[in-house]
Amino acid sequence: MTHIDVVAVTHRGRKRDHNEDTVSVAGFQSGAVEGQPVRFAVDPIRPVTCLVADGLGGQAEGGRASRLAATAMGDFFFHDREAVVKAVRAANEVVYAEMALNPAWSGMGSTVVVLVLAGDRAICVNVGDSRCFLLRDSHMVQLSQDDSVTPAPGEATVATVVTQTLGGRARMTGVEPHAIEVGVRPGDQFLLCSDGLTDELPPERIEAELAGAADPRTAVERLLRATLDAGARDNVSIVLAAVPCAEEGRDQ
Amino acid sequence: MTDEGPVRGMASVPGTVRDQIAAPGTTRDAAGAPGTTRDAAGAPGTTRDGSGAPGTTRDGAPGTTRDGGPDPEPFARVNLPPTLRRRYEYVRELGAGGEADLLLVRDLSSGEECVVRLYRRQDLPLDEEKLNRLRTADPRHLIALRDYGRGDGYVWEILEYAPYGSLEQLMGRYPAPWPADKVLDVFDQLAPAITYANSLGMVHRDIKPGNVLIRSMNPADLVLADFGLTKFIEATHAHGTNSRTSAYAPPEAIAGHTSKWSDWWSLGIIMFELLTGRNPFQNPDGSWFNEQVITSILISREISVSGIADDHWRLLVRGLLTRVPEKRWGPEQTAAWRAGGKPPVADPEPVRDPGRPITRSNATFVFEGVGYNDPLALAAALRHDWGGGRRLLAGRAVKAPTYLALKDWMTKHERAEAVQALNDGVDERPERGLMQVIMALDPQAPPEFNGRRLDDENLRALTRDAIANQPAARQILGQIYEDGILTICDDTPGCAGYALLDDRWHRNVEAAQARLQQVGVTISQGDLQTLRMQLLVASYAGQDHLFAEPAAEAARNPEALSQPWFRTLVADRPAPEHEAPWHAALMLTAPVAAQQTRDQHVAAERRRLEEEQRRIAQSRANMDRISVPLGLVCGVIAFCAPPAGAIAGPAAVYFGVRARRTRHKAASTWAIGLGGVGFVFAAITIMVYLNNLVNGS
Repeated sequence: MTHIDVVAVTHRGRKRDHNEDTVSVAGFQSGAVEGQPVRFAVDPIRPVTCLVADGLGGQAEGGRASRLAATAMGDFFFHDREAVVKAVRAANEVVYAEMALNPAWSGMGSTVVVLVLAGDRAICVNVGDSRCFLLRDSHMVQLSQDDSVTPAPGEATVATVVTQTLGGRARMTGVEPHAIEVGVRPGDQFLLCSDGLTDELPPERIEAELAGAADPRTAVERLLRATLDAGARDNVSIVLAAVPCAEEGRDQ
Repeated sequence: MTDEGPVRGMASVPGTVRDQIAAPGTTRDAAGAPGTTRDAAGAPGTTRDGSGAPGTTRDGAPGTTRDGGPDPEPFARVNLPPTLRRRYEYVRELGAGGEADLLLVRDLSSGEECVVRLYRRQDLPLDEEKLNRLRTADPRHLIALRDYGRGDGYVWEILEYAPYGSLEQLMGRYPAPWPADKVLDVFDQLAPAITYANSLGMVHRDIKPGNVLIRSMNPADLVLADFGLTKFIEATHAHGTNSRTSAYAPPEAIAGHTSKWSDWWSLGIIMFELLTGRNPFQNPDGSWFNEQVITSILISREISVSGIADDHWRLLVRGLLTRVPEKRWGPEQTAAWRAGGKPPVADPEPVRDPGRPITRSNATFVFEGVGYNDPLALAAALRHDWGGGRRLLAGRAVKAPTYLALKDWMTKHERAEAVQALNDGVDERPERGLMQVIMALDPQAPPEFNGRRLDDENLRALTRDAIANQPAARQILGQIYEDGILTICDDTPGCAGYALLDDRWHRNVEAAQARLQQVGVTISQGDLQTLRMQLLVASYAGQDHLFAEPAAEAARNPEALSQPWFRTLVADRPAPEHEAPWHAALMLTAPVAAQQTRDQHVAAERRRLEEEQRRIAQSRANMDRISVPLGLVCGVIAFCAPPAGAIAGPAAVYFGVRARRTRHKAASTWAIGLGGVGFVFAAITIMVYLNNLVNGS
């Protein structure tokens, strides 16, 4: 039985003092200040859950919110889309519940993008502007849907404005997670990342690094290196999950 | 009916334009060597465009022409046939073409100048009934056919001579746009003329400014020319057309259909040209679109009349330029229009201004972080950020959110063709889909693939770059092949006939690959690219033998020819029209075959050397085997017969050493031992003997 190869890293970048991002792979969670890429070989006999949560920068306790969100759904086995959506809603409530404990935590929030690899299906659910991409046949397709304001014709999106997050407001507000389910093929690669990656590197570059690297670990290392070289103004988190190619397992 | 300006202008510079253009023996007529189809159709001065119409009728005023009318003894290349010489006096030659000569003559009885058109053949079928109708036709509308006949090796017709030339020449001198009242003069002359011709059951099929002759300027009197024998010539020849003819032909003429409605379309184009100053198929610099582009536009597009400012005029031109012949304006509608009415225009398709497509929705689509609600702007953005567009279309396979948003947006903007392009797309070919979407969003833009324009000129440049080994060009050309991009571009501006080209290209490549497979040659990716490039070049019409020479060269390669499969390939010559893939296969496999031959030679040489070495080793081994008994015998001799040991001893040692290489090690040891001891004995014996000899003496 072949394993799903997952490489994850989170890093505070070059400008921020703290890392308010959190990554989680099959329940292993990290918010390390300057993390190293870590490689997991996960047996896909049960659904594999990976996620990236990006605590709202400049807000109170962004890191706390992202860790809470990650903890709230990082170690569950999700079998269908509705379950994931429900878990994201529950994580939203957890963040608000935590907020109630201490007035200083009021308004803390986090984005989240969750990927569940369940057999031959992949479920992607997101709230906020952390992204999930599928790399197949050298084309990188975005599966997540950004919660950003639709710009006026001819104008660019304001990257810093997010229309919904887990938490993020003073009073409890529900969320409408975006969910998509796609079939998984041998050789597919799923990239989860915070906007610290996509704001620094153009999609063309990310695509080229993913398609050009020999293995997921090299790809993540290169992406992190490139982001840091580009200035890394925000925390950067990358999770890359690679489904094994057909020829790696039994020949089909 | 008056046209003061032109009249004066015309009188003051009579015939200059025409004579410049159409003096006999100048370019056009020179090109019309006898027997070429083109000139057949365009017997001088008749059907061809104005420039090629030396003087049937529109010759300048006599006496100012280059060929010197007043010369009492002009050189006459063509003589009047005897039949005609009795009735007419030769004045001068007006021109010649592939089929006919034109002479200006004077009627001996009336003194009137006429034009004689002499067809240099007698086998022309003459529709007597029609010609008689023409001869008796109302001269107000059609140029008069005075007589016709056949004899002395010719068929001839006598035509009225119109001294003021054609409408085309007038337009050359007084460039359009013309004032409305002058355009109206032309309309008032042409519409009744067409109505009249139709009423006689005649369709001109080729009305254009060059075929509208000016009988008088003040009042304006225009007549239609070339209803006569030239029509028979056209009917008996598959005639080539040119841009200036196609530019006035209705859409249905492309399929070869003409009807009484056809001439009204031509009138519409003439009106358009007079009102806007430019033919719809003319570039701003006055050059004409090429034939194929005109055809593709006629097939697929509306002609935009937005350049005509006046509503009433625009209505007329829309009515006349109705694509469906039966719904096109004819005699009744034009008459109603002239009377100030507004007959309905049937064409249901809205007249689209290429600059401003109809946008009915405010929906905004976000592409790479920027909002768009204008299809043209989005098309431009997709062309500019090709990678982003490719990823967007790659989302089709998984119904990615951005892909669905694009589809939704196009539906809201009523871009049915673009939505259709998405529906018809292929998941594995996102760039093909992208190309189709861009073209559906902005149909007027020249097709562009991954930053490279694909119109004829640019495609050839791309091919040149690819042949010059530019990796980017090679890769793009490869994608264009795999995604069938040329077919998508078919019949867009500058891409006429691309579907056919693409089809030939693919069939050629597939045929070549089949041949390679037949002979069992696998080629590298680079060779495959080269093969495709070469066959693209050879797929252009008339280029299928472009590589015949290098292919023949390759087929003569003696090294390659020693491969039987290559000989089979060389011998298996296909039909001439399918030779291009064969050429490509030969050129590609000849080096492979030659290399195989060289490899075989090297292998044979290596085998020969190995064989020789084995033979040497064999003989040595045989020797070694014989050495075992020989060594033993010599050893025994050396041991037993001491004096002989002097020779047998070393021999035994030698054979013994050789015998060590066999498995008889003990025998070898014995031979060496006996030989050695025998030699020592022999030495002692000899020394004793010598000692005795010395002492004894």
